[in-house]
Amino acid sequence: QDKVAVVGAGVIGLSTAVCIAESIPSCAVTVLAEHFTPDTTSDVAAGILLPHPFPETPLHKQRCWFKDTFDHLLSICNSTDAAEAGVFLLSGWQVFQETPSTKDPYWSTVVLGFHMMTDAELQRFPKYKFGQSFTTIKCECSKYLLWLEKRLKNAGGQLHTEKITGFEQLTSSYDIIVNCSGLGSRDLADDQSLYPVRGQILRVHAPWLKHFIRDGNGHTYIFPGIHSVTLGGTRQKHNWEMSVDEADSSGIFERCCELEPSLKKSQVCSKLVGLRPTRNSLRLEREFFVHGNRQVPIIHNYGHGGGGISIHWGTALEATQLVKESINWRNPTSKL
Amino acid sequence: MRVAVIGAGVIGLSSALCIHDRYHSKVTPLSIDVYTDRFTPLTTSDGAAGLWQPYLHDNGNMQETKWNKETFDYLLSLINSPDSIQMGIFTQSGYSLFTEPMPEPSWKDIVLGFRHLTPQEMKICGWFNTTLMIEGKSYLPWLMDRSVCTVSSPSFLPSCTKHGVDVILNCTGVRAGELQPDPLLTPGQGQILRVDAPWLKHFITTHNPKSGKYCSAYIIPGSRSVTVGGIFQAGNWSEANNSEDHRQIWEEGCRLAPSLKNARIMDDWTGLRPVRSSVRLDSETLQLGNKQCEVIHNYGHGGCGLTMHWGCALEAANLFGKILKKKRPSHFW
Repeated sequence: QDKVAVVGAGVIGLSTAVCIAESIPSCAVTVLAEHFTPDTTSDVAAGILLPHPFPETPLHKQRCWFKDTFDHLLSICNSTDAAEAGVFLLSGWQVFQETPSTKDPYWSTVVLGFHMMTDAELQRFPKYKFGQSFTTIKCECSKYLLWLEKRLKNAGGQLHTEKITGFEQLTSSYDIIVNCSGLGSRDLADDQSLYPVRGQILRVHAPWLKHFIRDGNGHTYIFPGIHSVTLGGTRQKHNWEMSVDEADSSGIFERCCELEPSLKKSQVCSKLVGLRPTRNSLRLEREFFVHGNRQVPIIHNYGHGGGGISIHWGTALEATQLVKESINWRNPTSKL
Repeated sequence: MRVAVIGAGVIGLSSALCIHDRYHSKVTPLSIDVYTDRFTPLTTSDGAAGLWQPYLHDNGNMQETKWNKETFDYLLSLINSPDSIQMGIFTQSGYSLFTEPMPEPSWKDIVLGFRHLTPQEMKICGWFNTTLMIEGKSYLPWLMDRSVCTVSSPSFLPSCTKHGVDVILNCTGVRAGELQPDPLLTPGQGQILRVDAPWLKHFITTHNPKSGKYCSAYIIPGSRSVTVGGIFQAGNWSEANNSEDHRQIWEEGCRLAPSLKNARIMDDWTGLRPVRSSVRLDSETLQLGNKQCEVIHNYGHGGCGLTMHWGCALEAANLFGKILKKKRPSHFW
C-alpha cells in the first residue's frame, strides 16, 4: 500500500484526498491539517462557480478545470445527495457599469443558459449598462466539506488534526505527499510568490432572494445560500487581518442595498473574513523532497486565489494523475 | 356612496383598494365595506404558491392577457420599493417543461429573459424565464392594512340593500354560485405539500397537454417553504387533504427534483380554484326587493387569481366609474 499524506483540509485538500482514495485503491490516504470545517478558508467563501482569472496559467487549462468541476457538481445537483452535499443550481446576473472587453468569456459555454441581459432585465439596475444572465452552481462548503469527509472515510481514508510546519515531518511515514495547504504554503513550501487577498463578507437573513447579483468589477456581490445570503466583499491584497472591519461591513451592506434594495429589510446574522491564497498561476506540479536518504515526491496543489471552489474538482483530478505517475515511477513494472 | 365588497381574497381586497384609490377624492363620502366568512390566512389566495404564470394558451382571450400584463407590470414597478417584502413580492426564475414542443405563450414578452432551454439544461423541451412571486400570506395582510374598509362577518344581498348599499362587488370566488347560480363556475380542487427545502431556488412547472392544466407536477419555492403540487380535480368540492393525492404529489415531485427526497414535509393543504371558461368581470343592475342595486361581478379566475388580480381590479374600477356616470351624468369624473 502506498501511504499518501494530504496536507490541508479545505476544499482542495479534501477533494484531492477523495479523488485519490476513490480512484487509486492501492493508496492509504491520510488528511493532516490544523483546521477542519467550519474553520477553513473554504467555509467563508460563498462557493459560487465562477472562475477567478489566473494571469499566468494557460486559458485552456483554466477552462478544463472549471468544466470538470461544473460537470461533477451538476450531477450532484440532480441527485438525492444534493441537500446533504450543499450543492444546488442558482441563476442570476452579472452586471457591468462599463461594457467589458470580453462579452463572451471562456466559461460562458460551461455555465447554463448564458446570454446577454435584455433591456427589460437591465432596467432593474439603473447604474449598469451591460449584463450577463446565466445559471451556475453554488457549493456550500459548510456542508460540502462534511460530505467530502464522509466520502473519504467510506473510501478508507483518515483525518488527523495536526499542524505540519515542514515536509520533513512526513517523509518517514509517507510515500507521497500532496500539498494542499493554501496560504500555508508560504511557509511550508517557502513560496513567497503566494499572498493573501483579504475578503470580508456578511451573511444576512433574506429568504425571498432567489438570484445572485454580481457587479462585474468583483467588489460587490449577493449570493443566496441555503440558510442565508452572502453579501460581499473586499479584495485587499497583502492584507493578513483576520478580524472583522466595521467600515468594510457598512461599505458592503450599502453597496449591496444599492444593487438590491429589498436587502434593507434583511437582518445580519454574521460577519466573516477569509484570506484568498493568491498566486499569478496555480501551482500544480510535482517536486522531489529530499530528507536524509529519502526522496519523496510532493504534489503541490495550491494558489487557487478566489477560485478554489470553482476549479477544485478539476485540480483534484490533475493532482491525482500526478500521484498515479509518482506511484508508477516508484514501482515500475519489473523488466526481469 | 356605499359599496359592499363580498369576498376577502386577493380579488375582493385589491378591487376594493383600487376603487378607493381612484374615487375617494371624487365621491364623498365613499364607504367601502368588505363582507366575508374567510379572510387571510384562510382564503384560497393564501394557499396558492403565488407564482405569476398564466396558462400556456390564452385561448384568444386578449382581455385576460391584458389583465395579466397589467398585473405583472404593476408588481414589477414595486419590486424595488420599500414595501416589496412586506407585500410578498420578489423575483424568481425557473423552468416550464413539456413532453413535446409547445408554441410560445402570449406572456413571453411580459416576463423577463424568456428563452428556450439549451440542450445542456434539460433532456426535454421547455422554457426558462424570470417572473414574479406574489405571496398571498403577505399580500393579503398588506392589502387589509391599506384598506379603508372594515372587514366583517357574512352578509347577504337582501340585508345589504336594507342598509342602502349602492354598489355590490361580487368577489366570492368559487362560491359565487351561492349568490347567483352560474353553471360555468366549477371548483378545480388541488392539494399541495409545503416542504422545507431552502436549497431550491427555481420554480419548475411541467405541462402535459393530455392530462390538462395543473394535473402535472410543479415545484414552487417561496419565501418560507417550497410548494409541491400537481393535482387538479374539476367538480371536487372537498377541502380535505387525502393520502392518495399526497403520495402522487410526493412521488412526482421527487422524480422532478431528486434532491427533495430528503426534505422535510411541513404540511398539506387543499384549496378550490374558482374555475370558469373565462373570468366573469361585468356589471348588472339587480332588482332586490323594492330597490335597485348595481352589482359588479369579479370572479372565476381559476388558478390565475394572483397572476391577473390587478388588471381585474383596474377593470372593476372602470366599471365602477361607468356606474357613477350613470348615476350622476352631469358630474365630472
